Amino acid sequence: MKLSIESLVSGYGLLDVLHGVSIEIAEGEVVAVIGPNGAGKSTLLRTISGLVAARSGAIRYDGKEIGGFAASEIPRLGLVHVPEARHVFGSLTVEQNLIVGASAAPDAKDRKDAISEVYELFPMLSQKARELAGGLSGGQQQMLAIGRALMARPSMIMLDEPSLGLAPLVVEQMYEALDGLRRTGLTILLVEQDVYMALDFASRAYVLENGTIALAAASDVLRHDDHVRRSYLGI
Amino acid sequence: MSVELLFQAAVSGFLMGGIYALIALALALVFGVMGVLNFAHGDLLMVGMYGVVLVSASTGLSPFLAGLLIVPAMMAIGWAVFGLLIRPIVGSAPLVQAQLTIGLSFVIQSAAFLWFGADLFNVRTELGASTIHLGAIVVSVPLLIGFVIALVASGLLAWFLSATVWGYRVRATAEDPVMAQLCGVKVQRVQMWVFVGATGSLAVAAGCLMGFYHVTPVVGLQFSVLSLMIVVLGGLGDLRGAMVAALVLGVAEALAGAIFNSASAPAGLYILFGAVLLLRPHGLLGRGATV
Repeated sequence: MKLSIESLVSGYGLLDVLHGVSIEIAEGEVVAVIGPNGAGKSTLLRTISGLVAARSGAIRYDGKEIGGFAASEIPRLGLVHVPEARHVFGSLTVEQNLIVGASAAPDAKDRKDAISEVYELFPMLSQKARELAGGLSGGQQQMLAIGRALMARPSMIMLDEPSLGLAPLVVEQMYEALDGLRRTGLTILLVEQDVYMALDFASRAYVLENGTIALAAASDVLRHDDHVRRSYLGI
Repeated sequence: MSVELLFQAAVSGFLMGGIYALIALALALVFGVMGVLNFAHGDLLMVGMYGVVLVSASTGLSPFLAGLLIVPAMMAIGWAVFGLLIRPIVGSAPLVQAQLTIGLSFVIQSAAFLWFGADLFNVRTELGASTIHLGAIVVSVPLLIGFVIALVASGLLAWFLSATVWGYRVRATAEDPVMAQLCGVKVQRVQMWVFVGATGSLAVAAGCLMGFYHVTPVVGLQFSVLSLMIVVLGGLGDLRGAMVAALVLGVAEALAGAIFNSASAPAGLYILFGAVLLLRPHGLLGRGATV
């Protein structure tokens, strides 16, 4: 297993948000986590990437327990997290954002190669290389956030709500790019409020409700599941 | 009061402002990267000034060189202060941070009184009283040298932040420390090095000042207040604004001193400070956080 999470409990302050979540993702797999607001989807990603401490349970990445690792160590293992709302460094240029993204893989020659690969994937970024990231549109910022994550040369990427607030055409472009990444063998864990999109893109999905996994199945199965249709697809 | 005298004062004030800028940039950088407003900043500068006096007295070096020579020692002090006192309060409530750094300021001040007494120390150099004439303007040579060194140091800092990979990481940490961590930036280490570097740059500033200035245990407070004003005037977190504010304050202070008398110069500063806060709450260039 690329990533295997067992009975994970985590939360903030006095509150547990995740009550024993178990998830498994194989190498090269694309898996989605769907669920209502407040179910704990972002908390799940934030716990995996070390921003929130796990209270119990196991997080194994490439067979290695990574619970308790500092957030800055996780990308060094090849696992990167693109958080919700993009969080580009607005006062840095596009290219400087990418260079900061390579902090986990600080070989200068590697960095140049990685930058040209990102520019190949998102040509728009190379046109805006010297512009401040704060001036980009929402869609461009999302491409930059993904490009910056790729600078760490990851083997697995976690995306939190990448389509949030973007125009449909931009969402389509972004998923085309993500599809290209999938074909290179990148393992992807996707949290997405656009359930149609998520089930289209991922081969399997987990339904997270109130901090527990309510349902887990192949995307095709979930698309025809009554509960999913009623609660998430509005059919 | 002649126009020439005012112009003379403005030029001296501008040169002094360049040295203020270096001192204030260090404070602004620490605030930007770890969110701690260090009220002991001027006292660390005061430690550097005594260091320059001691090194100059024992080696005969000019204060400018002595300032460069004690950079490693000041960095070591910065390292210890960060590890023992600053790291634990990063992210704490502002009041806690203020209490701790003001406490540190008192401790450093008292230690200086114990060690050096209340006497005024300065460094006597051959350059001390020398001047050069630029047209009708007379410029003190040590002030001019101090200005140039401070300007070069500030320029190096600006280059570091805007053109090196480490500088990008420092700016990313200042803007969004959580995201910086997700990019693999070791944020705590960045914060430590910024504090160490800022304290080291105070050694350079101390050397610039001691070419013509004096040190007593209480100068720290004066420089802390001054650099806080500069950082706030420039717009919290806006380094370019701080640079401009330092030059403006330097000129304003000198003009107030020339028009009224040197005792009322600080009053001129506070009036300017209040006026700017009322008119431009986001700083002179309008890019900083609200005060």
